Parts: sequence; C-alpha cells; structure tokens
Amino acid sequence: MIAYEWVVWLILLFPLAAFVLIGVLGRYLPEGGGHVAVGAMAGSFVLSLYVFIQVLQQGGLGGAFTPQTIEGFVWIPSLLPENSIKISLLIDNLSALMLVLVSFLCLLIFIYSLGYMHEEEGKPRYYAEVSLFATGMLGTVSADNFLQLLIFWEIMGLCSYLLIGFWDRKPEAAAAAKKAFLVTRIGDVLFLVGVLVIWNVFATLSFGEIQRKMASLYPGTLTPQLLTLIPLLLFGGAVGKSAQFPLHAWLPDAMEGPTTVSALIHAATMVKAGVYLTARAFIFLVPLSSAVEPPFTAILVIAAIGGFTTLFAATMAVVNFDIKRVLAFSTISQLAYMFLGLGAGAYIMATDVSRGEAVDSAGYSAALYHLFNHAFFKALLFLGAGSVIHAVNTNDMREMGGLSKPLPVTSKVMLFGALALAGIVPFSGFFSKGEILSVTFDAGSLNSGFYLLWALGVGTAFLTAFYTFRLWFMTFRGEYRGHQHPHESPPVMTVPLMILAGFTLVSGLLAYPMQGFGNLVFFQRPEAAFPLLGVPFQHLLLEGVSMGVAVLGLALAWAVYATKRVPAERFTASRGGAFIHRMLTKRYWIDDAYDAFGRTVVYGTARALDWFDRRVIDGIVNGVGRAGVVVATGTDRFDRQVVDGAVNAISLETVRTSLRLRQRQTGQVQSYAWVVVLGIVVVIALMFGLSFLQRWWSGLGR
Amino acid sequence: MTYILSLLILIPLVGAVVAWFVGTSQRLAKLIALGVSLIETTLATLLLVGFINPGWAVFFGAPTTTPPPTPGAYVPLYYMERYSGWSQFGFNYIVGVDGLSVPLIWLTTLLTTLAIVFHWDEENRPRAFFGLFLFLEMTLVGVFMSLDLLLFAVFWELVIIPMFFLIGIWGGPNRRYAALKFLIFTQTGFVIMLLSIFALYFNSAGVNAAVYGTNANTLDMTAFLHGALRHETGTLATYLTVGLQIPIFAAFLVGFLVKLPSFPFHTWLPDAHVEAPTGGSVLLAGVLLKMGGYGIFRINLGILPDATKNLWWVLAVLGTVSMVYAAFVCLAQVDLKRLIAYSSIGHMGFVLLGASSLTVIGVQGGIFQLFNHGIITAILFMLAGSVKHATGTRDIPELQGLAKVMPQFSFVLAIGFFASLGLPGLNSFWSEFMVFVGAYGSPNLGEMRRLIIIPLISIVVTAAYYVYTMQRILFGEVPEKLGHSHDLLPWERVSYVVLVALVFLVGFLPFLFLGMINTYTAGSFPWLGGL
Repeated sequence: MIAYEWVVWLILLFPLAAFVLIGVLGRYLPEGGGHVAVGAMAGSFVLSLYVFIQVLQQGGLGGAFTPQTIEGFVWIPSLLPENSIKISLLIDNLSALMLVLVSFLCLLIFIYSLGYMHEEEGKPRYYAEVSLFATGMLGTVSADNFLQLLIFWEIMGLCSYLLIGFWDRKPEAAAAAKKAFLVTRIGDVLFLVGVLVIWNVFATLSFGEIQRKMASLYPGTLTPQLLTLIPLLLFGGAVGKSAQFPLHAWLPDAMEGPTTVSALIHAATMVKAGVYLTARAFIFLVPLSSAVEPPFTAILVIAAIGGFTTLFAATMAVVNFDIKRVLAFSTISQLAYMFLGLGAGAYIMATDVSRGEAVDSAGYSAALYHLFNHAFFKALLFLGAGSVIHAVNTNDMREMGGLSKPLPVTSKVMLFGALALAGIVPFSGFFSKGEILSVTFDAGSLNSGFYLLWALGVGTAFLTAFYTFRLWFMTFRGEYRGHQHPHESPPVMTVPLMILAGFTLVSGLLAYPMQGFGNLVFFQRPEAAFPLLGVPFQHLLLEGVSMGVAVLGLALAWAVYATKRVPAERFTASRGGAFIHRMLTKRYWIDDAYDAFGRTVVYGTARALDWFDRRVIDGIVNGVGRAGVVVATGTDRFDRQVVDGAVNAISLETVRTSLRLRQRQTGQVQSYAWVVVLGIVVVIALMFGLSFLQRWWSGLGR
Repeated sequence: MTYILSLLILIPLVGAVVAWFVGTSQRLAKLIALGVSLIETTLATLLLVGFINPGWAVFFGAPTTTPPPTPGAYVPLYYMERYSGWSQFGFNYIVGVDGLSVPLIWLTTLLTTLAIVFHWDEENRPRAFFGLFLFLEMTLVGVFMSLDLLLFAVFWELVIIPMFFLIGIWGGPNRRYAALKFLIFTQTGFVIMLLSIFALYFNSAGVNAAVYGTNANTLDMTAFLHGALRHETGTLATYLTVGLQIPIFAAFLVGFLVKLPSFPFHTWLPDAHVEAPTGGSVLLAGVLLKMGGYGIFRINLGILPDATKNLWWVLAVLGTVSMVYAAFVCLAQVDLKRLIAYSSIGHMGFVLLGASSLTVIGVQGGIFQLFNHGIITAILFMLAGSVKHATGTRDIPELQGLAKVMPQFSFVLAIGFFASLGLPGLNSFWSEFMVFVGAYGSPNLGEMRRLIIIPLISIVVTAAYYVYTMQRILFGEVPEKLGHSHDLLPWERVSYVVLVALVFLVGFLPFLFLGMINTYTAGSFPWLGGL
C-alpha cells in the first residue's frame, strides 16, 4: 500500500491546474506562464518520485509489490455496480516507472522551452497546451482501465494536433496537424473497437479484472478468434499513435511544430504510448493460464510490423536533409524495435505458458528498457537539434556544417545522443537494442520467421549508426555552409541537455544495480538475467554482432560525410541507385498515395453524395412538391368547372378555399401557417365542443 | 400535488403574449423575453436538480410517481398532473416527466434563453421575434411533458408555427422556399403520425380496462406505457397485438424520422438551417430535432415494444446510413452552416442506432446523445452566426487565418468541433461510446455485430471534415478583407461561456445526467437486453 495514495491524483491535477491557470491568466504572467508550467511539472515529478520510491520500498524490484487501484468516481452508472465504468488510477511497477519518466522528461523540456520559446508569440497557448499534454500522458500511463487510457490517449492526440499547428500561419503546419490527427484517428477507431469488444466479452475494462476473468471465460464467451482480435485492435491504436507502418506517414510531417514539441510529444512521450498500450495488452497476448491458448497470430503480426517498420523507416532517414525529419524517421524505426521486442518476447512467453514452463519475460523488459533509454537519448537529440536550429535558423543540414566550434556544448551532448542511438557501448542504446535483438534471435528457435526479423533488425542497426553519424558529421564537421552567425544557446537550454547527456550513460547502466531492467517493470516474475553480463555466450556474440554492424555504419558515415573519401554522389550515380534514392526521398510514394486516396476516393465520394443529395433526393422532394401543385391545380379546375357547376356550392365552398391555398404564387407563406393554426383551433374546438355536446345530450336523456 | 409542469407551460405562453402586447420598444421586448425565459430556466433547473439528486428537490417536493389504480408494475412518471374534464372523448390533460424528458426540457429552456441573449441586437420586428421564441419554448416544453396523445399532437403541431415564422420572416434570401419546405415536410410527417394516434385510440379500450379499470377508448399515453411494461414483464397477457403494433409503429416512425431527421427524409433540414436566423437554428437543431428522438423512445419503444423488437433493423439501417452519408456530404460542403446542418443529421443517426440496439447502454447512449448534441450544435450554429456577423460570409473558402483575427471565436470553434467529433473527455464522446457499446453488444445482431465497423467509418470522416474545415478557416495568413473582423460580441460571449462550460462539465461528470437516464431505462424498459 502506498501511504497517502491520494497524491497520485495530484500528479495529474498539477499540470491540469497549470493548463487552466495559464489558459485563463497566461497573458498576464511572465514568460506566458512558463514558470507556472515548470512549477506544476516539478510538483508532479516530486510526487511521482515519491510514489516510485514507495513502490520500490515495498518490494517493487522483487515483484512483491501488489498493484494498487486508487478508486475515483463513477463515470457511467449502471444498474449493476460492478458494471459501472469508473475513473481510477492504477499504480504498479510499470505505471510508477512511467510516471517518473514522463514527469521528468516533461520537466526538463519545459525548462528548456523557457529559453527556446522565449522570443515566440503565443507563449500562453504553448504552455497551456503542453501542460494539458502532460496531464494526458500522465493519465495515460496511470489509467486503470482501457477506456480511461483511451480518453487520456485522445487528449494527447488533441494536444499533439494543436501543438503541431502552433505556428498557425504556416500552411505546412496546418496540413501536418490535420494529417497527424486524421491518421492517428484511424488507429484510435481500431482501439475504440477493441474497447467495445473487451467490454462486451469481459463486462469490465480494468486490467486486473480482465486478467482474473480470462481463464473462466475461455473458450466460451472469449473465443480464440476474439482473443486474437482484441490485441490486434489495441495494436491498431498503437500503430497509429506510435507511427508504425502503414500509419507512419504523419510523424515526419509533425516536425512542423516547435522542436520542443517534437522532442517531448513526438519522440520522448506520446509516441511511446503505443508501446505502453501494447505492453498492457500482454494480458491478452500472454494469458498466463495453460487453459488458454495464446493468440500466436496476433503476436506474429505485432513482431512482423515492428521488424518491417524498423528497417523501412531507417532507409528513409538515410536520404533526408531535414535534421528533425531524420530524427523523426529514426523515432519510427526505434519504436519499431520496441514492438519487435514485445512481439518476440510475447512469443517466447506465450510458448512457455502453453508448455507450462516458467515464463521468460526478457523481450517484454527489453522493449520497455529500450523505451526508457530511447526517451532520454531521443529527447536529447531533438533538443540538441533545437539548439542548432536556434543558432542557424534552418532545419536543412546542407546549410549547417562546422558547428562544433560555435556550439561546443551542443555538439558534445549530441555526440553522446548519437552514440546512444547508434548503439555503441557503453551508451544506453547499446544495451537495450542488443537485448531486443538477442530475444528476437532466441525466438527464432521457436518460429524461424524471427530469424528474418532479426536480420532486419541487424540491418537497421547498421543504417541507424550510418544516418545518425551522417547527421552529426553534416551538422558539426566540415565548413559552415549557411549565412548566419551561430552562437551557443543560453544555459537554460544547455543545462537540460547536459542532464540528458548524462542519462545516455546512466540509463543504460541502470540495469546493473537492479539486476536487470526486467526486475523493475516485471511481468509476472522477477528476472535473473540481465544484459551483457550474466547472459549466455551466444548472446555475447549476438550483442557483438549488433555492435559490429553499428561500428561499420559509423565508419561508413565517417568516410562519406566527415573525410569525404567516399563521395555521396557515388551511390546515386548508377540508374538503380538513383531510382532507390528517389524512392526513398519520395518516402516510397506512400504519402502521395494517401493524399491521392483522400483527394479522389474520400473527397470524390463526398462530392458524389453531395450531388446525390442535392439532385436526386432533393430532386424527388421538389418533384413531389411540383406534382402536388399540378394535381391541386387540376383538382381545382375540376372542382370549379365540373363539381361546382353541378352541386350546391355551400358545402363545397370550404373545400375549394382550402384547395386554393396551394397557390404558392401568392408568396404569402404566412397564410399557410394560419391555415395550420386555424385547423388546429377548429380540431380542438370540435373535440371540446363535441365532448360538451355529448355530455349535454346524455344529461338531457337522463 | 404540485403544478410545476403546468407552470412551465404557462409562463412562456404568458410571456409571449406580454412581449407581443407590451414590448413596444426593442429594448422592452427583449428584456421581457429574457426575464420570462430566465424565470422558466430557473424553474427547469430546479426540476433538473431534483432529478440529479432527489435530496436536492426542495422547492416543489421530491419527485413522486403516481401508480395506476390496478396493481402491478408501472412506468415511473413524476410530478404528474391529470385533469379529466372531458374524458368522454378519451382526452385528458395529462402531463408528467421522467429521466427522458427532464434533460430535454431543461435544454429547451436553456437554449431559448441563450438564443434570446444571442439576438440581443435584433432590430427587425423585435416584439414578434422575441414573442415567438417564448411561444416556441412553450410548445416544445409541452411536447416533452404531454402524456396524452392528443395533447402531444397539439403541441407537436404548434411547434411548427413559430419556427415557420422565424424562418419565413427573419431568414435569409431563400427563406420562403425553406420555410415552406419545412412546413410541408413536417406537416406530412405529422399527418401520417396522426393516423397512428387514431389507430391507438380505437384499440385502447382493452388496455385502458386492464390498467385503469375503465373499458372505454382513451388517448391516455400512460395507459399504454403501463400496459406495455406489464405486457413485456409478463403480467398482462393481452396488449395490442404485434400485427396491430407494426403499422402503428411504422406510421409514428415516419413522423419522427422526418423530425429527427433521418436519411432519406432529411433534405428540409439544410435548407431550413441555411435560411433560419441563428436563434432559430439553435432551437431547430438543439431542440426541435430532439422531438423525433423523444418520440422514438417514448412511443415507439415505450408503447410499441413488440413492434420495436420486430423492426429494430429499420432503425439500425437508417441510423447507420444517416451517419455515414451525412459525414461524407459534410466533407463536400462550402457553407459552414450547411456543413453543421448535415453534421446534425449524422449525429442523430447515433440516436437511431442506439435505440435499435435494444440494450440498456445503447438506449441510454441514444438518449444522452439527444442532450449532448443539443448543447454542441447550439454552439456550432451560434458560431456560424457569429462568423457571418463578423466577416459577412459563411463560405469556408473565403475564410482564412481566423485564429489571428478572431482568437476567441477560434477557441470556441475548436472546442465545438472537437466536442462534435466525439473527443474523449468532452460530452458527446460518452453518448457515442455508449451507442457503439450497445450496438456492438446488441443481442439482435449476433454474428452481424462486426458490421459495427460501418458506422465507425463515420467517426473518421467526421474527424476529417471538422479538421479539414479548421485547417482552412483557422490557419493561414489573414486575407485583407477579413483583417478588420471583430471578435465575439459581449452577449455572444455569454452564450458561449455557458455552453462551453456545459460541454466540459458533462464531459467530466457524465453521471449527472446518466443517473436519471439510468433510472428511466430501468423503470421503463426492464426488458432491454445487454449489459
């Protein structure tokens, strides 16, 4: 039990309060309320740390901490109290760690923003939106059920939309914001369907309840098909949020937002929510009961998308000249590593479960370990890129070069980040990436498809080192090619950078004091094995392979972009090379295809249906109206010439008058309404009158 | 016995007459209208508060039900009033409310007040204008509380008149066509519906005898409501036969579908909205459409449950088609107001889908959607009015960069759009989510439940047209001719603040309304399936 458990609510409420306060009063505050945002975030961070330490003290590392639900209030009441949908927070190993991670990164990036956004207009809007975003992310990782997760998830999506479009006068920003919202929305709908299915199968949405009910519902209510479908639908949401193939197209464009936003939302936190969701979906992937057949198909899909996307995104990073877009592609690729790790890990775990053996959760912890490390080094790289952009006023690496002299701090911290991303020992990326690849290789002995995915992963490790150092060399080495007067950023920006740079070293080694990262995030059992040391020899070999290719990639980048011994043009000289280059710059034409689909199919359908509505449906309506007028005119003539001449006029006078009222040409629309009023009055009078008459009559009779 | 319901009908009627005869100046007319509507809103709020928590109903006593004389289950209807002066004809003055009608009554009074505030600068025939709003309020409140079929029909018909004038006199250039179209459409629907009322009347003696012990034909809706409930719970064997219920159901449904409106009876709506003055649109979309939904729940589900169990698929198909169709049509609209009008059609599709699910959560979601859509669409139509007022146009291609010139407007627009596209945390997410949960879990569907993906397409397209519209009108450089557009006017701001606050309040605390809706479905439809 966590002492003073209500403080967990405060973790969410601090940034929410900052959002409201800055939203209302931001205009009158210094720095547009930036200090308020930082202060609120600091409060959240301290409380998160408090919760995390409590979890650790109560045996979090040994797996002795019982997940704790902090009950809130009922959102949707139901007749049966257990079916009511509540807002509650969940504290377990994973969420406690995520709370600390998210609040810490938010805090650093908010502080950095004080410098980076200093000269921007619209600071209150910026700080209000990032504070709301922090609420969304903290709520996502502390949600106790899937619906609540979805709600905070979408709040993040909203903030992402608003912040990508922060520079509202730039048409590119508006288009990118739209694209981001719509593409992730597709994933969100799948997630929503997943929630619907879960609710209908389990009659609850809380993680713990679902896990408890799993075995009793299988295979009756929870058919094997549904068990495969549910995690895939949830993964659909993750694909959108974490920008995996085929919903990856929004993330590179999202770089139109301020760099701090790219660092925070589109690298360190929000895009990780997809990985987090998939980790939560492990209750479906690895049911932990030998009575339930694990959904291997779903696991393979997750691993395959991860494995494919990681190489796919890395290839596009190689040819890009926009410093932020390179990092964006890299983010997609690294997130894909995490999905690969989750998939491979789930496969091994599920096999263990179905064989009734002890569960080896190495893949699960490796993926989350990579999430943890990547959050630090990618935030560092983005913020470093922000510092560079701040200095040279462009994103284009062709107009940079030689910046290590004017920007000594930035160049050094970015070197740390680059080494971590490339996976060079002893920087953090090495440990987690190597671990993911080892697990994938292990899974190969169960399903040989994983050997292919491992090969993709190793290929990516090569490309990662190459494009990372291409970026670093192009930016910091050689001659300056731009026309600005670059200068180093103020300490408010460089100090967070240095802290993050420190973490690229520390976060990787953190696994040692806790005897393996798996001990911290554990899924069902504490983990004995930890990376590099304590793993079998073949893993050392595997780690060696992943690092070896990284060094090769680094060397190639050095040869091409630092010494220029191998000119870059050589790659595009041949026709095949030129074609590949063009294909990669065009991002495999996928974005163009999506745009064309939207323009022609979706918008075309819209236009066609609009035409249908105006011409066909309304045409029928107007046609009926006209036909009515024609009939009425005919009847009128008939009435005047035939009936009227033959029959006594007294009774027909009323009929004729009413029939004449269809003469719209008089233009007196009001007269129609008067007829309606009159009609009603007559009907009411008749009913009352008849009623009285009847009463009077029966009274007479008596 | 309290007279709160009759008072709610009477106050705006008196107010309308006073505004018409006494409101000689614009100022006087609008002050009278505002005062009367504020009194009405206060009373309705007290009523609502009593339903949120019976312990808070201090002014006219906690809500109590009136059981029928015969023993057995009965539908809980609160604050009932019954005058039987003319009962030979089967007509009684009966009013009563429950968790279905109270939110709608409150919505009516609130939106009327805000519409009056929004038109604070209306100079064209002010006393007729403001008087008509109060009259409209009276008729709408009457529809939602009438429990006699004739009374219901009279109020239903009376609603058309003030709306007809509001469009026909204060509307845009093509107002005559729009007003006439509105009149003919709804009138036709009404006449078809009237057939059902007659049919019910001539077959009511048995039900009346079983429930009220009087073997005579009646127009008393409560006799049918109680009878249907007892029939469904198995204590009343003979009720209207299915063969009889089906045609009655169908004819009622036509009337309600026209009002809702649903595909293919919807084309009056865009025209009416484009021409109507802002306040008229607010009430038209905010409340008038809800009459259709109200009728479906009160009469089709409440009185004709056997037919509903047979014909649920009609609702499901029409609801789904309306949702998807309207969403696509929205994407192609140029006029902002026309876009919002079509979006209303789509959102009313949710109501049909929820009702068709015949599950507790789906029906609750449909009812909740009525309320939520009323709040959101009021914001959206007011925005269309504001932008026309400020820039002189509503055409999306001519608007650009409004985030710079009209920041407050843009802020409200973003909230309204996101609320309307069902962003979690804002009010309509809950109702849409519940409808989907209900529809997916509907026992009717069986294996066909995977078709849920079709209405879900509309969610993506809805997001697309809203976000696309925002991209075009809020972002970008400000064109020269929009450079001097004023932002929201003070009285407009009042209306927006109230509605936006509600969007958030209901979004965070949906149980405020879901509690009474839950009580309603539990009392009226214990036979519904699902969770």
